[in-house]
Amino acid sequence: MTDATGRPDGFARAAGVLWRDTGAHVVALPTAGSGDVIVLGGGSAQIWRLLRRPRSLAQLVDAFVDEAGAPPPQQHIAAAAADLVARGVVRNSQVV
Amino acid sequence: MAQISASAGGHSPAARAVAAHGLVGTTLNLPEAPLTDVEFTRLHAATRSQRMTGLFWAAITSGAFPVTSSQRDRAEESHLQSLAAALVLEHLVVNTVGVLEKAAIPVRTLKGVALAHLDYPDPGLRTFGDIDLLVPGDQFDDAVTVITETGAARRYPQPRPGFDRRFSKGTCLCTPDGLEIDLHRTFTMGPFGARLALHELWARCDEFDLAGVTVQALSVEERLLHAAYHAALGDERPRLVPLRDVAQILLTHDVDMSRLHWLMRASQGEAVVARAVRWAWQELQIADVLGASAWAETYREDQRTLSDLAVYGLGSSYAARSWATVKAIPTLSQRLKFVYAMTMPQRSYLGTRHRSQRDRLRQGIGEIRSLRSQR
Repeated sequence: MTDATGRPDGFARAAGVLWRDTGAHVVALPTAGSGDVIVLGGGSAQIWRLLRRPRSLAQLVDAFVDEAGAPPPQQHIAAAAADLVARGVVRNSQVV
Repeated sequence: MAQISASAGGHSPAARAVAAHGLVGTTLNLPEAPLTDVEFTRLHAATRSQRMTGLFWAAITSGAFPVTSSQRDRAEESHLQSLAAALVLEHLVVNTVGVLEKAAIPVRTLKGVALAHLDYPDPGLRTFGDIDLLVPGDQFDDAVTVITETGAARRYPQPRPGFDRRFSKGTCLCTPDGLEIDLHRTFTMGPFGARLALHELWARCDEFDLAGVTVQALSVEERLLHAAYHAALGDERPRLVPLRDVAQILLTHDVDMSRLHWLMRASQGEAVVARAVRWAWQELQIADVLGASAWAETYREDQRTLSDLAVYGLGSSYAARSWATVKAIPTLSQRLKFVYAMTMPQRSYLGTRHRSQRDRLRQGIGEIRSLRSQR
């Protein structure tokens, strides 16, 4: 599925993000933003890892089940993904 | 347990084992039980000063290096700080490469940034504290101009106008945020920098991606040549990560030895590469024998080369390296220009380091005599 601009529908890693993954945390710097480095842990880091390819919210929840077994509630994943969008490391083509 | 050879760099066995972590063929062993807090604090400090928090963290998370939970937290905290610094520097690379390319100035990223992305399985294993960029000598002054237009400032002025583009290793520029850009014309100062076959470095390149921007680096044999120059000549005592870089490239790439030998001969740098490979194999205690390590083991320097290597060693000085450079400059007119700039620099270059040109000359001659008497 793609949106009107041809981009995958749902969440995806934002373009222009520098990052490293320690296995416990993800360190990221969106070059288009303020230039501040952010450190992601727990579910936020896991969402970043799962977004190695674009996924809808439902696909993110399914991927949590596949990888973590006992996923957090969908609204928690949605809130964490929205926070990543607000911090400039993830984009959501469903949000205008 | 294999016997541990003496460390040429004065590094502890544990620090050397961390530097060698994950390297095929090393016989160094990490501790089998958590260190005491005193021992851990000492090693932790070494991993930070040697910029190997990534290898340290990888050794811990792989289970190869047992630690207590508080030691694990300390190791990750310092690694996160190193990674954050690395990302800020990569952002600077993206911006600086952008302004250079906009000005039609070719550029190759060197050392940490390039090695992290091209030579290590995970760029987080190789952290760095500044950025190093190579530009052609005939466009060096233009490169300094466009970078200073972004707000960065030269740390030191050049001795005479035109000195940088003809003779210097390069210059260091500091950004308003306190970050450092090492802008290179060649790999190192001194005779080996002067003899480097610079045109060969620009014949080809490798590329990697930084935040969606394609960045160019030296090709693998040229990267190995530079890693060897940095490892063998960069510090008076060999540092662990540059030696790891040499071993990392040799053990993980199919290095074209005929190309490497061509580059070494063209740059008269066989002794530098041989020393770096020998030191890497010794310091990281690598049992595997490669064509390069076997060659390095049997390579013997002549007297002139030993003399040139000595100006990079303990007890040497800027003056001694400058004097040794004179003999490596190919033409008489260029030698005279170099000597003139070094002995009669413009007043802004003297700065706070010397009271006058005479004072600078007297000090330089003293340092050269001192090095000769040590030999």
